[in-house]
Amino acid sequence: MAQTISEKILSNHSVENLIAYSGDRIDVKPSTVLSNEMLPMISIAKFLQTGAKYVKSDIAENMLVILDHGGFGVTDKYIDIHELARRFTRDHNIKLMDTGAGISHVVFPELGYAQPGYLILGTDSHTVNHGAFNAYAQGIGASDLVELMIKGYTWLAVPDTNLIRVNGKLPANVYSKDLILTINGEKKMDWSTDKAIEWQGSTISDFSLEARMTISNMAVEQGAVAGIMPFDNKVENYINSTPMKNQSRPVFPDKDANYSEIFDFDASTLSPVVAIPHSPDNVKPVSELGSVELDQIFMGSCTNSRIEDLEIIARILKNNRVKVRTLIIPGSASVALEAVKRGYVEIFMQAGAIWSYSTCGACFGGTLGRVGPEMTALSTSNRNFIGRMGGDDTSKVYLGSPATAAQSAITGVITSSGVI
Amino acid sequence: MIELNINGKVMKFGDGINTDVIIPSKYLELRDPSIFSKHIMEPIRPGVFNDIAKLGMTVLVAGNDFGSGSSREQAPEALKQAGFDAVVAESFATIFYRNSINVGLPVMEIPGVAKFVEEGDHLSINFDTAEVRNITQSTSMSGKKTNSFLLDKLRIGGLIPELQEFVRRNK
Repeated sequence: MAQTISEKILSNHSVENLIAYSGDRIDVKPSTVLSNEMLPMISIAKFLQTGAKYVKSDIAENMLVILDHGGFGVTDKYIDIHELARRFTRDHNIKLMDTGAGISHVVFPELGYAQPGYLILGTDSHTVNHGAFNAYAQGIGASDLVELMIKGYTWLAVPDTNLIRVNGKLPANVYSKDLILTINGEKKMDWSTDKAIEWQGSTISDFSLEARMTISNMAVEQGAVAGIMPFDNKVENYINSTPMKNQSRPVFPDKDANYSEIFDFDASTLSPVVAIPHSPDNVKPVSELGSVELDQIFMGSCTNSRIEDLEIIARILKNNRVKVRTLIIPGSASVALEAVKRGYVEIFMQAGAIWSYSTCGACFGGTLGRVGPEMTALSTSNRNFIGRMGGDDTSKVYLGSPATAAQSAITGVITSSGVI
Repeated sequence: MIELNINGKVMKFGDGINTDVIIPSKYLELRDPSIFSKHIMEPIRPGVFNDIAKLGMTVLVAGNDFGSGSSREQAPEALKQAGFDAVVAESFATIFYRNSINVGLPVMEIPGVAKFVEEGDHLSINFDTAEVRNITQSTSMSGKKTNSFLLDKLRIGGLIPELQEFVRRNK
């Protein structure tokens, strides 16, 4: 029987070598595992509570813990949480990327942990990001991680799949962020609940891996458990540039694979958009917004903080001054270094923006760049729920592309890219 | 064994309640569920933690897509710790639903439940049969039966007790 990409990848990782189809529940062994502060905040205590002594070696060897949410020595509690992670990962031979190394969904693929055909499980809902590499990547809970560490496998429900085909050439000043916001705005937060998404089409193929990750990253903002993109030579080239050797096993859907729904989208109809408070699926074209004055702008997060994003921001901020407090957080230490080499950091600082070390920052509202009551902010991150970036129901957070954010920094009001 | 026949008074919420609303991220560093659970639902209805005991409302009823957003297991953990015996909703986000089972919080999807229940109504929920009775309004309806594989996990209190047993057996 014909299979979707999800059905194939999950079958390939079945503990019992089952050929699985949507609706099945199977035990699976992941290729790689991602964790963050969820490990020290929850999983370690629960692991010890079970009486377990050792982390399964094949999990420990393929697991990467990245301390990204809590900042670098910011609060006493996070200092303790981070120290607990260091001790545990040292004792159990698990690789740790310490505070400041970067945001997990930027660092994980940079180091080659996301590859075609992989089953990736991570204790963060934006783990779906790694579907851009033709992998099945799903977010799990902290107790699920404990199960993986003890048993080496866990169960997954094999999902139905929604197919989204995007064709057409993007208009000028429109980016992959505008595409995913627009589709999520049309389809809403629960269109793909319990389902995987497969992406196809010329627009997706034309995008770089950085731009593709912005899209797959926000698959969870339409409820999806995974958002998988096709394999091509761009994926292969990216993998070959990582320190991990290429272990890819590209997976293609069968011709007559069974899709739950098929959605065709014409990218040439797009314009710059923002998500307006308080939901990522509350989407409007910037041209229909009216004047929205900003108190703060945040450019960063696992959705938009990679070198290509910084390149777009630098192009717009060059020889300009920001009119509103603007915080730029690079996605990883290596993105930051590349930005220094290319002269972007000088452009940012000459424009009057604040440049920081790499962390989740304002997106999570944990450290750095929080907004307060009555404040209005524009962010390149993925969620604008009430209180998400700090503040309360009087705080307003808009989500947009790096280009829209950079243009808006210059004008002080939400301005669609290309106006200046 | 955890009782899966649940009776209680309803506290009602709307559609699209996400995990940042259920437990705002700034409280996660507190780590101890008995402490961070005091802040549940703070962005939309401050004081819920006190209301549960004061008003005796121990069944949470919600609309569509309950628990969307973050993978934080602290969301169902906080609801359970705060005193909710069950959460029923029109629909749930995937990770929240799984996390609820893992932490031993009974959850059931009941399409139509938002119209069937008013805040303060007394509900009786049988998780084995998925029968729901609204005692206040003398009506009844059926939810979606929770998978027996998941009910078994719920009965023993969630994933960690199951893993304790696994570790003991494999010593």
